[in-house]
Parts: sequence; structure tokens; C-alpha cells
Amino acid sequence: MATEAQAAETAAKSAQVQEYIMHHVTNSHEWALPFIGTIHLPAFLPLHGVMVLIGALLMLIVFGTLYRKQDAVPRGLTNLLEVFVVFIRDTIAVPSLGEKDGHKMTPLFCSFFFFIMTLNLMGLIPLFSTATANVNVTAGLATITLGFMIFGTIFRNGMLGFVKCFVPHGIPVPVLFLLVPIEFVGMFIKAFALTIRLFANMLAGHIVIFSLLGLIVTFGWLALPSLGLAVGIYLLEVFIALLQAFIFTLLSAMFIGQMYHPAH
Amino acid sequence: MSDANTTHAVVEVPAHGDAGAHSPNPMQLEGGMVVLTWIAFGIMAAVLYKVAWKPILAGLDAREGRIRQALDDADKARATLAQMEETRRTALAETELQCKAMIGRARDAAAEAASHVEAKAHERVKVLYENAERDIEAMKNRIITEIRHEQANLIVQVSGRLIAQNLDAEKNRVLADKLIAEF
Repeated sequence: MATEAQAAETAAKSAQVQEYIMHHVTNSHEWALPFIGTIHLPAFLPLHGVMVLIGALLMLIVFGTLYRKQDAVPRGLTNLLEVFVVFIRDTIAVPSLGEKDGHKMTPLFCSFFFFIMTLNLMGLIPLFSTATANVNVTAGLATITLGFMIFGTIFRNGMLGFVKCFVPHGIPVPVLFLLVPIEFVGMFIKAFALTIRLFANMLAGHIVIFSLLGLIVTFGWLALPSLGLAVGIYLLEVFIALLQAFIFTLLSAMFIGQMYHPAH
Repeated sequence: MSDANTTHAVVEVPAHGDAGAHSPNPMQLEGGMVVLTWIAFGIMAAVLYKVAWKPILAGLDAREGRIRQALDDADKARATLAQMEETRRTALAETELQCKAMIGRARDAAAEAASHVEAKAHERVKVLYENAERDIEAMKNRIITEIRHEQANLIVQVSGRLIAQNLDAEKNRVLADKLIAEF
């Protein structure tokens, strides 16, 4: 009977942990702040929406005021951020879109990279929540890439140029009847893949951390070593935050580049 | 019994899980969030384009241009320096050649002057030698003449004395010896 009660208690704790985890990784209309308590957010502005706005505001503060653009020789934070800007321009934008388009599109990719990185890193601070673990946020960002893939290509290459993107060279005409629809659908799949990749990675990382901490709640002091694992995963998440921002930016640049320069 | 209890416990999990079923679905689509993301990102990207990315990238391009210009200038300066070094070496070589030519000419002139001086000295020595020889000859002739005169005078004196005394051969010889001894 004792074992049965113990199993039931463990199952109940497990369910509570599961609910707690899902509550913390998904969007809500409550923001729990230390010393202030829980703030109830309006219906039009959920927690992840607040995180998106805070992230955008942080970006404006950091790059609008803290980044010393007048310095002939950058130092400190300016030097650190400039490394990323140069990296995005020389490693992502120019190789994917060519010299001219790469330079022109660098601001967009800088915005993508720093915005996603900011949102990812904010999720690692207990005060905040991970907006990029929300599929709607990542979908919003991926649709911007999709918009550039469609409207940017039409604006740059014309409607005919846009259509030509779905017609690979050197393919027999009968095969094109099969290939062109696949290529067309593939464009949306690319944007969908961007959405899911970022969302799933950030969501999974946080679920793993919470699950490892949840083991302590479920099994007590016996599961204390999982705290070390959680710290390890947390440190890994810092790297993942940077990596996912880089991957999203790189793939966006590649996808847009493939549409802008279909011959390549 | 134990197995049955465990099964019972496992069966109860979904009962607790029902509470979790009401928790929000992470895959739930919300158009409002997508639009909010567009607006936030759009405004942020537009503002940052004006206040950050454009000046930052322009600054980077300008700095890269300055570095490229500085490197070009350094290359030009290096080329100029190499050219100057080449010019210096050429000038040095030319100067060395000119110096050698001048030294050669000076050596030739010196040798010529020395030979001229030597020829003049030889000529002078020859003249002096000839003069000396001539003086010696003249002196010798004068002395010889004086000796002859003396000899003649002596002969005259001896002859006079001999003539003054009419002596036989023996006395004549003794007298002659006496006279010679006196002189």
C-alpha cells in the first residue's frame, strides 16, 4: 500500500512538474516579477509579446546609444558588437547574396541576428521568458524572410524572374510539371523549416532544463546531481542561443540569395 | 499485488495529466503574436537601419577604406624607398666609377709628371756631369801645362848649371842627382 501511495504521489508530482514546465515555456498573460508579484497582461499583449517589445527596445538602446559609432578605433562593447556586424556582412550576407546585394541586405540580417540572439538570451534570464520558444514569433520572423523571398525577388528580378526561380536549368520539360510545383511548395517549406527549427530548439532546451530541475521536485534530494546537469544544459543553451540566431540568419540569407540569384 | 498497484498508479497518471491537458498548446497559432512580431521587428529594423546599421556599416567601409589606403600608401612608400635605394646605389656606383677614373687619370698624370721630372733631372745631371768632366779636363790640361812649364824651367835651370860646370860624365851624373835632389 505504501508503494502504491508513493507511486501515486510521484505521478502527481510529475504531472505538476509537467504542468509547471508547460506553463513556463508557453505563452501566457501573466508576468511574475520578484518583489512586485504577478502582473496580469492585457489580452492583446501576452508575455511573449512583452518579451518581443523588450527585446526590440534593448536593441534600440544598445545600438542606438551604447554603440559608439564615432570611435575611429572601437573599444569595449562597440568592439564586441562590431565583430558580429562584420561577421554577418562578410560571412553571411556577402557570400549568400553577392557583393552588391550582400552589402544592401546586411542591415536586415544584422537585425535578424541580434534580435533573435537577444530574445534567446533573455529567455535564459529568470526574470524574462523565451519569446523565440513561441511558434508565432518564429513564424513572424520566418514570414519576413518569406516576404523577401517572394516580394524582394519580384521587386529585384521582375515577375518572370520570380517564376524562373522554380524552373531549374537543364531539366526535361515533362519533369518540370512535377518539379516546378515541388520547388514552389519548397519555398514555403523553407520558411516553415525556419519557423520550426528556431522554435523547437529554444523550446526543447528550456524543457530539458526544467525537466532536470523537475527531477529534484519529483524525487527529492536523490535527484540533486541533476542540478549539475541542468547547469551544464544552461551553459549549452547560451551557445545554442548564439548558434540558432546564426543559423536562422544564415538560412534566411541563403534562401533569399537562392531566389535573388537562381542561376547560382 | 505489487504489479497490480503499480499498474493502478500508472493508470492514475492520465487522471493527473488531465490538468496538463488544459495547459496551453505550444504549437497554437495566434495571429496577434505574428502581427506584433512583424510590427516590433519592422519598427526596430527601420529605426536601427537609420540610427545604427547605416552609420555602422558606413563607418566600417570608411575604416576599411582608410586601412586599404594606408596599406596602399605604405606599399607606395616602400616602392619609393626601394627606388630611392636603387638610385642611391646607381649614383654610388657611378661616383665610384668616376672616382676610379679620376684616380686613374691622376695616377697617369703623376706618372707622367714624375717621368718628366726624372727626364729633366737626368738631363740636368748629364749637363752637370759634362760640365764637371770638361772642368776636370781643363784643370788637367792646365796642370799638365804648368807641369810642363815647371819641367821646362827646371830643365833650363839644370841645363844652365850643367853648362856652367864642365864636368865629366861621372861628375855630371852626381851633379845631376844633387840638383834633382835639391829640387
